[in-house]
This record gives sequence, structure tokens and C-alpha cells, in this order.
Amino acid sequence: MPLGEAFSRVLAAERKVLNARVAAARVRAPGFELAQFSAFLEHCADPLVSSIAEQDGDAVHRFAVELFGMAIELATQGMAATNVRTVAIRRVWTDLAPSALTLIAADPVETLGVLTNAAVQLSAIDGVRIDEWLANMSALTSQTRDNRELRALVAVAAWRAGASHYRQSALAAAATLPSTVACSAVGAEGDDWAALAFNFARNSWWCPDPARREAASGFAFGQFTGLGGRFGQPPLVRSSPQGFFVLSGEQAFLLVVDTYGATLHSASPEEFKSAPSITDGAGVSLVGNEVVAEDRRMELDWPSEGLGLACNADSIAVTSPYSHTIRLFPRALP
Amino acid sequence: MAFNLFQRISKSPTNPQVQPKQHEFDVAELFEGPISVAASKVGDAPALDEKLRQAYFWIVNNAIISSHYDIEFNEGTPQRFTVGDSRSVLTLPSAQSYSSYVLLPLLTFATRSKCLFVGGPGRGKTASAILMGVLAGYPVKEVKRAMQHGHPQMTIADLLGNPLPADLVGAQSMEEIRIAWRNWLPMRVKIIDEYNRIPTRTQSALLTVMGDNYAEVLNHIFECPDSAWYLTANDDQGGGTYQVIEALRDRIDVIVQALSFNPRFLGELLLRIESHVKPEDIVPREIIFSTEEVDQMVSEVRAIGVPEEVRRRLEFFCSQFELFESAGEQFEYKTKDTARLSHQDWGLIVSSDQGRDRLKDLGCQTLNGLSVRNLMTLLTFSKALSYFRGEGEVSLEDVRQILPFVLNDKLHPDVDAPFFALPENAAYRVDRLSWLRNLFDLSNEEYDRLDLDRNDPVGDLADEFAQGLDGLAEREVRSRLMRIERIIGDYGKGRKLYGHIYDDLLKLKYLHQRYTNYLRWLQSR
Repeated sequence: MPLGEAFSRVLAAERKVLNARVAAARVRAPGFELAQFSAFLEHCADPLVSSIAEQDGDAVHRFAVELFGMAIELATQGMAATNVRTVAIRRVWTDLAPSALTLIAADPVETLGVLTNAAVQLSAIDGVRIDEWLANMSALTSQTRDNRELRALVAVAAWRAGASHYRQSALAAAATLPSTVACSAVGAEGDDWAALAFNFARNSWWCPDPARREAASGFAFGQFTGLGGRFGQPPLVRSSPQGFFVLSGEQAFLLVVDTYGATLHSASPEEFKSAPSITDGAGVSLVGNEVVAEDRRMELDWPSEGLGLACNADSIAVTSPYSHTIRLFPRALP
Repeated sequence: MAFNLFQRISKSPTNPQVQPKQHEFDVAELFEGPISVAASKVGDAPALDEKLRQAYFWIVNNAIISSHYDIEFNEGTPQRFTVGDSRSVLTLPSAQSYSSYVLLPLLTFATRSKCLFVGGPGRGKTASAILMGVLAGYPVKEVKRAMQHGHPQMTIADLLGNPLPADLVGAQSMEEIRIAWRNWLPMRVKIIDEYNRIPTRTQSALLTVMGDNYAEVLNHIFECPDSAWYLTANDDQGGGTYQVIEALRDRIDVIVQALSFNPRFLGELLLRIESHVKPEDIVPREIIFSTEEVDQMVSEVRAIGVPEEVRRRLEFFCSQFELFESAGEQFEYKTKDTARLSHQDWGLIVSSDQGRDRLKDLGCQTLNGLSVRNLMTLLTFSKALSYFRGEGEVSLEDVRQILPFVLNDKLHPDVDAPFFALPENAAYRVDRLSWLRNLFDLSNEEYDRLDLDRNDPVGDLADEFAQGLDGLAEREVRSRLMRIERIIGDYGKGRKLYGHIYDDLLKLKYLHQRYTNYLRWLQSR
């Protein structure tokens, strides 16, 4: 499919400079695939340039050149290709960007660049629901007034999509937004951000989003490496103020969990060894194959032998020598 | 958008320190990725020393094709290899080392000093100076237009500005003549290209701007802001159209030599041609400094401490060079300055200077001593290097590495001295930087041999005096006077007079005079 008229015109006008850039990029990055780069321009950049041309003809030249530059950056890093690794980037450019076109037109690098980078980062985090992030962002970008707000919304949407380790940082970012926008960002109605922030601080399993109420009663996390997971052996868990330290074989991790999901990060075996099983008081125990919390009992579908329990201020984690998953529960129902 | 392939700046700490591991998660991580975007908020801006290092590494990696790592730092013993018939030593530094051609201009920028680029034509002297202007936030075109190109017909009006022609005709007094000042005068980065082609008279006008920060035309004054200065010269040793006046040369703080291009980097040069991208056009905005940031950086550099043990070694080094025993009768005038001002034949005065080991005496290697301006520059640049390296205080190695660039063209070798006649020292006649560094090393060896860190009676007396005279009893004053006289007596017992002893004796005389005056005051009460 040929490029649209607007993009073609800009490329023709800047032919010498842009060709030089591509030539330099190809020398610098031997893996630069010209065909992939061209396809990226055609499928991802061109529709945006055409849309801008319809909206604001004066802005199209600068916009097109900046998109071209970003495409070079992606291509030099092998990210203009069509594969599983880059699908999120393409969806940002084709699905998300049109909903934020006015903002992107004002400063393509700072908006589309931020969205692209975030998609790359989130795609690399196990447990993050990239579709949910894209959907939330699409719904929110129309409320965004500037790049600062956009970044805050990216952060909040990332947290809601399962990047639970960004919880505190995302809450701080949300607090900088107008109350109505902040409430929308976490899936709530109204403009009482203070009340929402209080509830978030009270229990990390609380959320205003009805769609996630089911998950707020607990979920399973992790998988055997042979099935695409990170645990080579059934994991063991210990408590940490940030979450849980996990040991699987000789590998240690930090598991950060809240109502929106759980993420796994590298840790050292020493950190695991020095961590206690339970912090912040007791009141949680295992009886047979039941987890007994202060406000309820939860039956496990595991044999009672060898069950492991760890507990921190908000969460309970249970492991079994017969499973490569970790069962995660709120310590008190939100 | 500029070509971001060249716009990548170091995202990892440029001078990393070992830190205990912490699990910290910041949403700012989300914004880092394949596309270079700005830091997420103002609070995320790196510290200014980190920003300066980022600027350095960007220039080294993207702007300067062939870097020479001639400012060497080591952690532990570096690997050394000897090559060739002359047994030339190639050192592989074991710690982060730097290219003087990039680092010195940056330190000049960070301290708003004056840097001279020397070297043959086409080695990137002017291009490097332009980069510094761009780092200060000026558009490339503005930097280029503001650059002053020295030429034999350059007048003061060309340099500073013209009186308005209409005013020249109609004005009844000098005050009524308005001056159209040149655009470069208010800039924070000033570039004078080929300054040794400027006629002598115009050089004097330039000296006023460089030295006193103002320009004067027809009794009208233009006050210039503090600026970083970059001057270029194809040959600073007299190869220009005009001899550079000494006062102007003396205002230059550091001299950087543009080293030769290594043809092994021809591929990079080819890429530069093919991509048709000039480094100054693609400086990333993350490494551009605002005026306020440079102000703050200058203050931060000044705040870097100089430990006493480093300061003492520097004092010892500087004291080596001024003594010229046969130049004067009165003790205070036994200096090279006295000899120089007399316009007597240097060789004749040197031949009458006997009694010392002229090979061992470091002072015999130079034609002059160090000025106060030289010392201030040396301290400032030592602080700047320490700041750049992320240290809290100046180390001896900082001084050792920066010293040759500051004292080059300031401390002049006496190539007729016995030291240079030794075959192993022949290279020092030509390679001034290595000679200066060797001079500092020899001074430190002597300092260690004399064990001055632990045994420095003059230093002890100076410390005692620095505590003040308030309330000091007559008895104590007399005791101190006796100690001073005893030390002076000890110095006189068969010891030869060397530069550091000469300065010690003058210091003792100073202390003696201060105590004597105080004693007289006590007695008159």
C-alpha cells in the first residue's frame, strides 16, 4: 500500500536529510531492517500523519519528520518488526494514538514516545495485562490536557493493569491530577479523590473498580518454567514489608502484590533467608488445608502436607510442595 | 526532531558507586525506552555534576570521533607495556580516565574560565568551541554568528562595536553618541577563533574584555556577564600573524592540544560524511545547561574542599621555582622575577648561581615562578576535576592530572638546564605536559623524602599563629620568637638554599615580624 499524500510530500521535501539519517542508522545498527522500517512507516506512522494533515495542515511537516525519527529509533533497536515482542508498540501507534491525536500533534516525542516506551516496559513485565492498559489509556487520553497529566495517567493505568509494584508511585502521580481525572483514572466516579486515596491506603486489596472485586478475594500467581512460568521448583515464601520474598530452587524473587495483580522481581537468596514468615503480628494460621484469617477461613485444593504460609500487613501467601503457584489472599477482606 | 541515534546520553550513572541494593519502584521507569524522552519531572533532573559527566560522555561518544584518554586515573596498579626501541610506555588505566580535549573545555564551561585550543588546522578546535556554546543553550547559528574570527585587519570597532553614524555627526558631547555593541559581548560563552591573528592594538581591547569583563568605546562602557571563553590558535608558539601580548596569554587558564586523528576511526568519519549530521546540530536537550544551572555549578565547584595534605604538597611544589639565589642581594629579591626584570643575560646570571645541585633542584628547570593567578586557576580546576569525578574534595591525583594543562605556557622550562641534557629527559624539552607532570612527581618524592607530612616545624608555627594573637602572654610570644630564630638558625647550618627553604625562611620572617609587632604592642600598654 503506498504512503498517503501528506506523508509522501514531507518525505519528498526532506528526502536528502532523511535518507542520510537512515543511512547513518544502518551503519550504526547492522540489524536495521529496511523492509521492516518501511512497513512500520506505512502501517503505523502514515495513518497518524494523514489524520494530522486533515486536522492541521501546518503541523504536518514537523509531525511527520518527528515520527520518522522515532521510527528510526525503533528500527535501530529491532522494534519496528512485526512480532510478539513489538505488538504492543504497534497497538499504541495504531489503536491508542488516534485517541490522543491532538496531544500527540503538539509534541509527538513527549507523548507518543512516552506511550511507546511505556508499552515496551509493560510488555516486559510478567503479569501485566497490556490489553487492559491500552483500553484504560484509550478511555482516559481524551481527558488529558498536557504531557504531565499524560504521564500520570500512564502510571495509574499501568498499576491498574497489574504493575502492582508501581502502586505507591502511581498513587503519588494520581494525586497530582485534577480530582475528577484522578477518580476516572482508577475507575471510580465522582471527584472525591481524598476518599479514594484513604481507602487505597487502608487496604492494598481495596479497589473502587467493580470489575476487579472478584480478584480482590485472592488469586493464584506463578507457573512452572516448563509451562512459561518463572518457578523451576515449587516456591517457598517469606514475608517482606513490600510483599513476599520467594525462593524457587536457588533463585530468589520479590513478589509485590495488591488488588490489581502481582509482579515478580529479582532478589537475593540472602534476602529470602533473612526474612521472617510473618510480619506485623499473627492472627493468620494454617489448619489442615485451610487458611484461617481473622475474618474468614479459606479452603485450599492442596493436600495439607508441607503447606507454607507467609503473611504481611495486607496479604497472605500460601505455597505447597505439590504446586508451582502461589496462592495470594487479602489478609482482611476489603 | 533531531536525529536521536546520536542523541542518546548515558542513562546509567556515568560514575557509578557501589550502593546497597534496595527494591525501589518508580513509574518514571515506564518512560524510559527506545524513544528518548525528557526526564519525567523537574525533580528527576540529574545532579549538575552528573549532567556534566553526561555531557562529557555524549561528546566523547558522538561528537569527537577519535578520543585520546590522556588524563589517566587508576584504582590499583595499571597495566603498563613498553613498545619500540625507545621503550615507550603505554598505560592501560584501571579506573575511568578522560580525554583532555573534551574534559578541559567542559571544566572551563563549569568554572566560566578561559580555554585555549591549540593544534594544526582541521582538528576540530572551532567545532569543539561551538559545541560549548550549544551546551550553554545558544542556537548553533547564534553561536557561529557570535564567534569572533581573528584577522589582520580586525579593528576595535570590529571587535566591540561602532558608534552610530548619525550620532557621530549630530552629537554635541561624547555621552550623546550611542554605541552599537557587538552581539557576542553579552553571551555566556565567548569564542575567539584564531586569536593570534588579531592585531596587537585590538588584542589590548580584547584583554580588557577578557580580564575585566567590560568593553569600552568612546567612553561608553558595556558590562559583560561572567562567561566561559574559548580561543583557538593554529600555533600558540608564535606562529600567528601577530605576537600575542603576554598579558592576554596570561589570562588564559588552560591550554588544550587537539591531538591527531587516528585513521583507525576512518569508518566513523565516513559515517559522519554519509549521514551529513553535525554534532552541534544534534546536542540532546538533556545536556544543555541554563544560565542558572551554570551559576549553581560554579558555586558547587567552589565548594569542593582542598584537604590540608593536598594543599601542603601544592605549596611545596610551587615554592620550588621562584628562588634565584644570585639574582639579588637582599633576601626577598633573590627571585627569578628580579633577574628577568633586570634584562641581564640569563645565562650569565645562571652561571654565577652556584652551590646547589642544579640537577636535583627543581627550580633550575624553569625560567620563572608561578603567579597568584596561576595558583588560583590551578586550585579552581583541581576543584572542578574533583567535582566532575563526583568527589567531595580534591585528591592529589586530581591536582597531578590537571596541573600540566594549567601550567602549560605559564611555567617555562629552561631547556639549557642540566636536567634536560640527560638523554632520558630529552623528550621533556618538547613534551611540556609530561615535563610538568614529572616535575610535580619529583616534587612529591622530595616532599616524602623530607617527611613533611609529619615533620613540618614551619607549618606547625603557622598553624599556631593562625589561632590568633588575642590574649597571648608576653612570655609565650617570646618563646615563639625564640623557636622561630632557632629554626632559622638550623636552616642556616650547612644546608643549601632551595626554593622551599627560601619560602619557609620568608614565612618565618613574616611570623617573626608579626610576633615582634605584637610584643611591642603588649609592652606599650
